[in-house]
Amino acid sequence: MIVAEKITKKIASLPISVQTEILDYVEFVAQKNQVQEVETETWSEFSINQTTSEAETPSEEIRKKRMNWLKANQAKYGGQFVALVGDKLLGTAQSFVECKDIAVKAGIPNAFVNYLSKPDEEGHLGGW
Amino acid sequence: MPHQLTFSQFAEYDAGQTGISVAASLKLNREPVCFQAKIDTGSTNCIFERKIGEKLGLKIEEGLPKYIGTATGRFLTFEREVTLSVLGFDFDILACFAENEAFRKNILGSYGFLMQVKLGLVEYEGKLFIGKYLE
Repeated sequence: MIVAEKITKKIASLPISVQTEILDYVEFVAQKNQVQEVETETWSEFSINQTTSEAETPSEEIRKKRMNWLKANQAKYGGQFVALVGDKLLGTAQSFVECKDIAVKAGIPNAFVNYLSKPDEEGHLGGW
Repeated sequence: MPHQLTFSQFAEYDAGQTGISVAASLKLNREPVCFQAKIDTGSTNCIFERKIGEKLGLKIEEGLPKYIGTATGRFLTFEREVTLSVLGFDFDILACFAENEAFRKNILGSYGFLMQVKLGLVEYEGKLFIGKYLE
């Protein structure tokens, strides 16, 4: 006799109230597993995106989204380093190394880490 | 007291030319555009000719506007995200492209390049040692 049949037979012999409790529990576990599966899939898709395509050559779409984010947030985050995954902000810092560290700690070492100028900030050209 | 640094790459440049010129390229998702660039510790940004950005297919003016000051004035650039390759290293950077076509320099400055590397220089012999800072 297979396990499922044994379980069914055993449960059928129990009082209705206990059967209902068992059914509720089984449904609860099933729902919980479903959520975990979705979370796992989302995370693995996210991780793959960031450790391969993002790290090597970001797609035109990602670059476009990122440029839109940089424009929209220049006034807010300008004057510091920003760490981005696509167009999502991981964190900001005052130095490149600190900002890179944020990305590394987030598990995305190849995140886009760059200095974002303030809107009115002027750069300097050296001797050329 | 002696100090020691280690570098993963070594290159020779023409010490007879003005400045430290190295082979570099920029790319998006298509063919890279190759050129000679000068390493400039006095520049805040990596700044490139407009025509290089256009060869990459960029619409320069869609970038973030940024003025670059010089000893005699300032000029307008637009920052765009590109992948910079120098001596075997890739950097995903915000590069400044000069608005004016008359700007004919390619500069590797602090943001996007110098901040991410460590350099050793023997100018007399035209020797350049380079490694990524966070290696």
